[in-house]
Amino acid sequence: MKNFTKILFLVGFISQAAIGSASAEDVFPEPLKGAKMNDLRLVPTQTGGRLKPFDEFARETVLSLTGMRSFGKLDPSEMLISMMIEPKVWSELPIIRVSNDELKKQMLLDLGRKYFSPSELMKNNIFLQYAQGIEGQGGQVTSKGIDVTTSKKDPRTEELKRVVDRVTRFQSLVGGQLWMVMPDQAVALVEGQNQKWINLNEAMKLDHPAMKPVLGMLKAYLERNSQDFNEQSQMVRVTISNSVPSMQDHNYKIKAEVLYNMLRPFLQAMIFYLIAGILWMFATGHRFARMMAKFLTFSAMILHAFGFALRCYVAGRPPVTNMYESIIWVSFGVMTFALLIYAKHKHHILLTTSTILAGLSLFAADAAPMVMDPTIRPLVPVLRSNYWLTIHVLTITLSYAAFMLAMGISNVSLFQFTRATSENNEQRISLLNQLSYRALMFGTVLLAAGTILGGIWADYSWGRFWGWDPKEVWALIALLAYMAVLHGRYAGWVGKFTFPLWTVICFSTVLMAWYGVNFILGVGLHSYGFSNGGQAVMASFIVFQGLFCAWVSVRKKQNSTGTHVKV
Amino acid sequence: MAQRTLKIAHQAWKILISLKFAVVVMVLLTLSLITATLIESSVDTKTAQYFVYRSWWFFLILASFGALILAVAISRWPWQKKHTPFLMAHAGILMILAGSWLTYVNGIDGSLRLSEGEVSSSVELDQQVLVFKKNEAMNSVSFPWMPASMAKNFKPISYPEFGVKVEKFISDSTPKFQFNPAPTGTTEKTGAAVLVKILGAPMGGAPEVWMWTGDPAWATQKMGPARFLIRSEETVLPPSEPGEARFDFVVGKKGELKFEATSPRGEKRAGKIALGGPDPVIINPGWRMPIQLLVKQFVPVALNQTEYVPAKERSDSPVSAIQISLIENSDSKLWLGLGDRAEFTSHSVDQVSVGYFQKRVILPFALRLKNFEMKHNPGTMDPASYASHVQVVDSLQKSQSDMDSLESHTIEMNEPLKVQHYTFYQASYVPDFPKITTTILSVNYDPGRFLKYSGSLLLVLGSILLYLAKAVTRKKAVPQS
Repeated sequence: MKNFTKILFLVGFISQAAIGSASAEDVFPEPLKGAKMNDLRLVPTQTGGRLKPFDEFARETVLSLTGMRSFGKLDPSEMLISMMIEPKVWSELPIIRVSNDELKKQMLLDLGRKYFSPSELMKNNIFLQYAQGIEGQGGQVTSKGIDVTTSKKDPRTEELKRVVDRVTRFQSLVGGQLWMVMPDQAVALVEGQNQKWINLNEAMKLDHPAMKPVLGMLKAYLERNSQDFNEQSQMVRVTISNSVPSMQDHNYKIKAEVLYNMLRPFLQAMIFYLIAGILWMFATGHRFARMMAKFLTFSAMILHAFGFALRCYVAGRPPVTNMYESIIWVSFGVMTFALLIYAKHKHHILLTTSTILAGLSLFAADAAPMVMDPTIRPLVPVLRSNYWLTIHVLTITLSYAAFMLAMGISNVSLFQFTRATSENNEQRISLLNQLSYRALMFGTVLLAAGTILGGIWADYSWGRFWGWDPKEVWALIALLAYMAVLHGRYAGWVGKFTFPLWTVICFSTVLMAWYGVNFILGVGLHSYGFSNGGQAVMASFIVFQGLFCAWVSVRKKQNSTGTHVKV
Repeated sequence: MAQRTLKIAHQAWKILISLKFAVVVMVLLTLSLITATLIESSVDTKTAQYFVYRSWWFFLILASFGALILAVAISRWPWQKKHTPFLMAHAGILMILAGSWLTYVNGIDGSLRLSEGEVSSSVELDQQVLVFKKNEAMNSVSFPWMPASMAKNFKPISYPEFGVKVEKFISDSTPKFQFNPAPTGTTEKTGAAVLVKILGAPMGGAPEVWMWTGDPAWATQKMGPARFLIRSEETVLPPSEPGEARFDFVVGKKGELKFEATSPRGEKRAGKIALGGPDPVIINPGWRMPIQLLVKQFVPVALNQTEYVPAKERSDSPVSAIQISLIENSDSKLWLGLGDRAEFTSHSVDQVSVGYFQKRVILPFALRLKNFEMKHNPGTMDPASYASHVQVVDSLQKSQSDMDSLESHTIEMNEPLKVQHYTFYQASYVPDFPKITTTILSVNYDPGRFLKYSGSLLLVLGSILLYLAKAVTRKKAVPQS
């Protein structure tokens, strides 16, 4: 925010020049035919506290502007180049996302539109007032060394803040301040020290030889000369890479990250899982369909694991720190537990449930990049280089996976009660309950172990084993809830019907511990995971689940009048 | 009669070991925990602790949880081999509860604040005390915190042996600084006060600051590398340290205001401050950093009449405040924010000073901060890690050079330091500009650790075995595919 006034100034300048040319139809620039982006994508750059490929930088920038990691016909990398070359065109195009209707009303914007052009936002009074007021605000350091702003957030202000940030980002991009193009050669590098990079603007002023191909590349794009562009971008990759000290350490990581971005392994896995799930559900009778389902499930898991490994490699740590990463891990956990139980019980329903759950979870993770940020970011100090942390989080989230599987199977079990009672059906229900009991066993042991490991970690790094922190407390609540059900089952009060019912209900405590503490309560020491959004989705899931339970209960009552189903 | 008691005891035992009771306790515990997290989310952590986690009834639920687990384990007597997993799991829970109790009663969880070069052994706890000082006698009385909803109906508490009464309590307060001209013949402490605004200060600037000669804590203000202070002409202070920028407001004998500015390189600048004109007085101390001082108000003989009012915005670390008065003369009321001290002088009561402080424990040794170090993520100002380099000082009589030669230890995030029973963790720091020089360590002594850890191990192993045993017995009972 430092250069904000400067940037505002710049914006005024640019948008004023462009006001006259606003047209009714938005014509987005076409991709440059024959231009290859491969080299540009691999150009190293430094933003967000780490070295990364240009491709990732472009995707993050596009995400922060539009709310999606790629937008329109252009490849994100190409889109950034195009923006830098033709700022006037882009500042008239609707690329800035404004998603809060209340805010739109306040800003007198068209409610029917999702995207607005930077220049029209820059002319908006409310936007300008807020943008000027935002400067003096800084972060806070609390007693436990974590940056938090826990005062209840007003969604309008939050969104306005983001919109201001989006526009600022656009302006600094087109002003040459966002792309950190090369390491600062003026400052001698000290081992392990903070290496500063300079942005395009500063580099141009220095007249560094590495800038020649950069300018050449931009020029080639402006002239729409694809051959020249390809040659120059290759030069850019070589010269910039050469200017990075110890580039050989980063080379593979940069390539891996681009591969990860281009392949989108979790998206592929999601599609495979969902198709496999449908096949398992309807087509297990056919030999070919069964083979197909097996193959798809297997491939999805391979892709899933590969993506996971790639992400670990790029980030240099296990992905355990935010909602997005935990969903990826949990959905893999669901598959693992399903296979473990399948190894013994050989029941298709395990694969049906788990593939559908994994597919839907991955879909949820991918669908809302603004809520669940898929960006790989450096860790806050408290989470760094800690063995116990990794073990703790992986264990506890693995327990969520087991509970999720139990929830899925229990829902199937509940569904059986809507059918007419028969000997066959009875047996089926017993078996399903047996399966979800297995999953609960895994779940409770892992949750107990994970919670305790969390205590050990907290003891090791903060000096207290247990501090009634909301995240800890909700893990305990979930554990107690499942323990109550298991003890109830042991005592015989929880029967064939109430066991799956309670298993399903108890999953809401897991949702609360997993999602709710960070997204709804928003207090406590786990603040590095706090975020906003998705409440409506969560609420509708819970409402839907509740309605389903109610419907099953009613159907069951209708079925059981005069039959012998024991509860 | 005896038979009847036995019968009742038997009934009670039956209930205690019944699964129904166990499930009821679990459900109660769950519900109270849910309530607590909701309170924490909507009010704050301390309120949740007050109403739930540290309440008697919550303790009762936990105690009955412990009792029933113990009872259930005993009820299986005589124990057999097949009971082992069950006993392990339940003994584990009991040990965790017992360990937690030990920590709660005998443990220490506090914080130690150290500036570079400072030696300290005083650990601040999250409890508050009133410290009375009367005729050289000192006494400290604990003064428990309470949430805003309880503070509304606060009933005054008297401390007759000191002649002092606590009139009001605010759980989350903000100070309203007021230094007003003292009426003649006042019995309260007076001093010269000046209200200053520092212009062009780094990090977004400082708000207006009062400085007052009435109390050493009020007389100096440190801001980054600069120190601002107010003193009377007679008071001679040691010269400023090399590298320190110092600005002295000097109150002359006739009540006039002068200044002396010393730059980090020792250059001095002095002059008079002529107040009362139509234009605001701005002083340039002549330092390299572009700082100017705007003198807004000067009161030669002032009373500290700072008041505390409930904070408008909820804060993460609320500061409580109390209003005190003399029992015999409740006209003179004083506000004390947490960390403040005040003095009463009256005719019938001897001089009494009252402090409202965090409770402290003194360690049997001291720590000295050599330096504080912070690393950033490449290309950003986000902290990547921070570390305190400290030395353990076992005797305060050591000379400076002796101290310098002590062995240095590093306390980092996830790298605590153990000295005797105490463990020191890197918790936080005091943000400062241009360099951070004050670290906040959390200090911990936990006598329940061993019990908690071994209990945890037993619990987890026990539950794994319990499930394994179940799987095995089921297989035996129903031999099928």
